[in-house]
Amino acid sequence: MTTPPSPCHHAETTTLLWLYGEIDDQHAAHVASCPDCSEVARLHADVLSLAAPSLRETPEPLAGRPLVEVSKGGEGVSLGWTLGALAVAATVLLAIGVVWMGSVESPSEPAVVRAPHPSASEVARLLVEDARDLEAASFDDLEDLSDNLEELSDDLDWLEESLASL
Amino acid sequence: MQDPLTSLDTRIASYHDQLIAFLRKRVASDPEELAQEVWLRIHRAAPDLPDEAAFRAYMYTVARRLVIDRHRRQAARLELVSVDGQTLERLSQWTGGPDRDLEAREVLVVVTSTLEQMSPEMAQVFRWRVLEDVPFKVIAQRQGCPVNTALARMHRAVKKLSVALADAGLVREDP
Repeated sequence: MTTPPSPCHHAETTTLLWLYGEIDDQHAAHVASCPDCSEVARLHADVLSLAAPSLRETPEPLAGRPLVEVSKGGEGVSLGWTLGALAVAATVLLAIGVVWMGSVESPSEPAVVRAPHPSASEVARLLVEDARDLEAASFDDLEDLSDNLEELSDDLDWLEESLASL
Repeated sequence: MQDPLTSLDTRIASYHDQLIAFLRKRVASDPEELAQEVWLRIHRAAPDLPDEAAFRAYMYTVARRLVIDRHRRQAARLELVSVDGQTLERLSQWTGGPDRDLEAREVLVVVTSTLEQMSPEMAQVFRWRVLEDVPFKVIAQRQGCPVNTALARMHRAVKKLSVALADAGLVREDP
């Protein structure tokens, strides 16, 4: 059903940046010697060589598609639990963030410059947006659902990292 | 020990025709010009590639990167409107001749349909990156997500297009 993640951690990150010209050519040697990254390069080059010429001004995706169920074999799988869980997760994360920030004593040490991280409210907002995305998306098959849940998982990982560094 | 430049010259002589054949399948015009760019990049990078298999892999890797770059630039310059006579005329000009009209039409239908079936965010990442040359960092800012999420959406979009094109019998053959 879902494609297992590529073993090479560059395959869907640095290698894509290189393929689309966003980092320099030093990465080429890695791509050439790495089967996972080579496969990604092959895939993108082949698809773009076919698809890119025909892509200009293709219609935008239909907006407001209401489908929130996955149908397979005539049975629907409700995603209500997912949206509910997201709402709960957003609330809990918001509460954790607020409580944590409230427990921080006023700094007596010199201020430390930190990398910018999202506030607790921003974290909650992103989760709610993910839930909204799931509501708006159309799941024609389980693969579509899998893609959306993978995106949600990516965002949750990032949010966890952000909260941990608050 | 062989001079590196002599070695590269020897390899160019050995692989140039293969490279041209590879590029001809993937770009509609000037495969020779693109091949020169491949050799130039390899010369500049001067990679330590002792065996032939490693060199061939490196050559095709650089070539694929340049194929993507070429299509990205050309797609951004195209002015196709829809699947009508005018569009097909322009497509045939771009893809190299009337013999490829049918394939161009099929590709357009498959690509359009597949993009419509994706999540809006996934399709948007693909359109922005390929058609408008928007960097992933900017796409991530626009979508309010981490760069890695934008990259993941792009890769999933390409995988879906690859499957759809393969299902329609429109894939390219590897060298």
